[in-house]
Amino acid sequence: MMSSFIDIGVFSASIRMAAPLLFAALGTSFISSVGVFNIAIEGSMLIGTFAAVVIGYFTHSAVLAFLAAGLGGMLLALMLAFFIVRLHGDAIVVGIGGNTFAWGITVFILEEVFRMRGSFSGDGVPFFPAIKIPLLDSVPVLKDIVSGYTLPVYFAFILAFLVWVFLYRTPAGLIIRSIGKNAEAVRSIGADVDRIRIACFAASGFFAGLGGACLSIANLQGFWSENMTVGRGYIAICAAAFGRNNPKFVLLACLIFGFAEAIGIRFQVLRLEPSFVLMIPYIVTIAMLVLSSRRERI
Amino acid sequence: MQVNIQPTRFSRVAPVLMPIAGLAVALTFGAVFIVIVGKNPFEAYSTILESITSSFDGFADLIRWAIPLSILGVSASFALKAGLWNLGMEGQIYLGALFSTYIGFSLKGCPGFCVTAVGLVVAAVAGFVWAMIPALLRAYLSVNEFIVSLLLNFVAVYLTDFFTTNLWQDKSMGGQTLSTYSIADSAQLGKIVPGSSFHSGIYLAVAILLIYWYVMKHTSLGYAIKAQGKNPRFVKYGGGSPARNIILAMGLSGALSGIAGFVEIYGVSGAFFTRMFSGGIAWDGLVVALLGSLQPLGIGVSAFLFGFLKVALLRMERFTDISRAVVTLTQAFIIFFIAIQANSLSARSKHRGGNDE
Repeated sequence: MMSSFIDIGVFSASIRMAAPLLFAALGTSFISSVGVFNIAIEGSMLIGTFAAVVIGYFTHSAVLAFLAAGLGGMLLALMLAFFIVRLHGDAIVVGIGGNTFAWGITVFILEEVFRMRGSFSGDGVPFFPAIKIPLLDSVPVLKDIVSGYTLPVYFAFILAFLVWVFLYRTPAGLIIRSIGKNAEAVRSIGADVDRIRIACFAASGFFAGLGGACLSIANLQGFWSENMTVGRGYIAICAAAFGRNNPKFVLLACLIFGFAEAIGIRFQVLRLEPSFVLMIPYIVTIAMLVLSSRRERI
Repeated sequence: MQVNIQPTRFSRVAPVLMPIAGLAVALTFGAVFIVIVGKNPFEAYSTILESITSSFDGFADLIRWAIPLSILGVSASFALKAGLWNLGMEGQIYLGALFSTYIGFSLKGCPGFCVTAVGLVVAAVAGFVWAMIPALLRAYLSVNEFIVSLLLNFVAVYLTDFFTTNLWQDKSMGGQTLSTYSIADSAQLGKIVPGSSFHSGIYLAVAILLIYWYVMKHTSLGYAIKAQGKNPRFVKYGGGSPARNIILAMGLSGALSGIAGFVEIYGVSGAFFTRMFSGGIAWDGLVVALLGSLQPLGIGVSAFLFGFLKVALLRMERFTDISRAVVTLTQAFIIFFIAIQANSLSARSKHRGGNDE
């Protein structure tokens, strides 16, 4: 039973499920590094899922749809950055407003522009096909773990490396991380802290939007339904917190959450109670938060 | 990732002014979106206003929503006064509603008022217990209550799904809607105006507002909660227990959210439907608290305003052919307005040297 339960398929599913979270969590790493709490990662992700499907529907290009999702998420983040950084609004309350706005604007466009309800259904929404890597595809175990994902999934993991290089190996990254530790000190060397914060908002929204696209046009084949992120943005925020905004550990956290989701799907196949299965990612996330808080204390 | 946001206080602004300003913001941005879809906002507004004011039903519906919203406003305020975010209100409502429903259909042979009373207590306990998870984690392990309570909503929703579909489903309702058995008729909160949705839960809501006012103004419990919100370290040096205060504030908040779930079942629906509160009534309650400056009077007025928005939302599509999302969007802008307003006010009081209540 157990051997058929945990097989290679679970691991490849974990990686697929981890990718959208990873995009959003890397985005969160940017904004958390400058000491701002952006709970609207969830909203940016939701707008991303929707923008990808809509722009894909019109352009028939998966790549353009993917980029549009990033831009959509970024627009929301920039609006919130304006409220928080320029108008000094309370970050949490603004973020709650951002999530409400994301829900409202997606449903508004769905109902007023497309005259649909609940979910987007349209032919011709492009999606990313699975790619088989030529040489690896003939190696028995590797072909299941490394090959056969969609382009955004590969990109998520490459992005984790790039973000790590940027945040931890470049002067710009050093400044960003320093703002979170002591904004006044950074200000005193003449850096425009507000502007950097706004840029980090933009980056966080952009990546969260890409994560959304990863859900709707890579893991799913061009499908959108109302509130389809169901809290994945919050889980991504937890992944970033758990990984202390360091992409190396954020990647690990996302893989664990992805594994929790994949295991859930596997339980579903076993006809286990679906309600309990759907709880797993959230409970695992809370458990990880508890564990990381202990680590902080010791 | 510790979030340490103090509740914002609007001591210099009458708590009644904020909801009115919020209404102005809502109407303005609502008009923008109605213009975008090519309709006349004045026409849309007057149609909705007419539909609400033309019969008593409209007013009754408004009160019907103001009841849970004011209870939820107090619920959110108890946590916010202690500097805590209870974002798990939705889950607490669900569990309070579900378990009080169970009491309502399973306690047979008791007089109606007795079932109602037990249902109320069970709902409060359910909400309290669910709020204890983030409260204890925050109090003893310093885990951020904000994110834990938020994630627990999803768990609570699936948990109520499980109970409804596997244990208490009323199969006679047909396969279309998943709901539990209905509570006993005699246990339901009486209608103040027969035939309308105006039910006696209004007394409970007013009582809760008064109790909140009394607790905050005249009891040591209220003092402890406020002190916790202002400065947890001060509480510790004063010989108090921050952990105890966190548990009390979150517990009260959770119990009240549970009671809001009870009111929805015993006053309105009579049975628990899965995903019944997906309209996000818990978030509305949080906004009601903030818009009401965490003050009893302000919460009451804001609950009225949001009751109005809720009725407008439900009537928008029926009467004007404009997407209900317009109301959701206007609510988003009310929240932005609160956020900006709240911070500029608290920053100003900081310059003045802080606490001037």
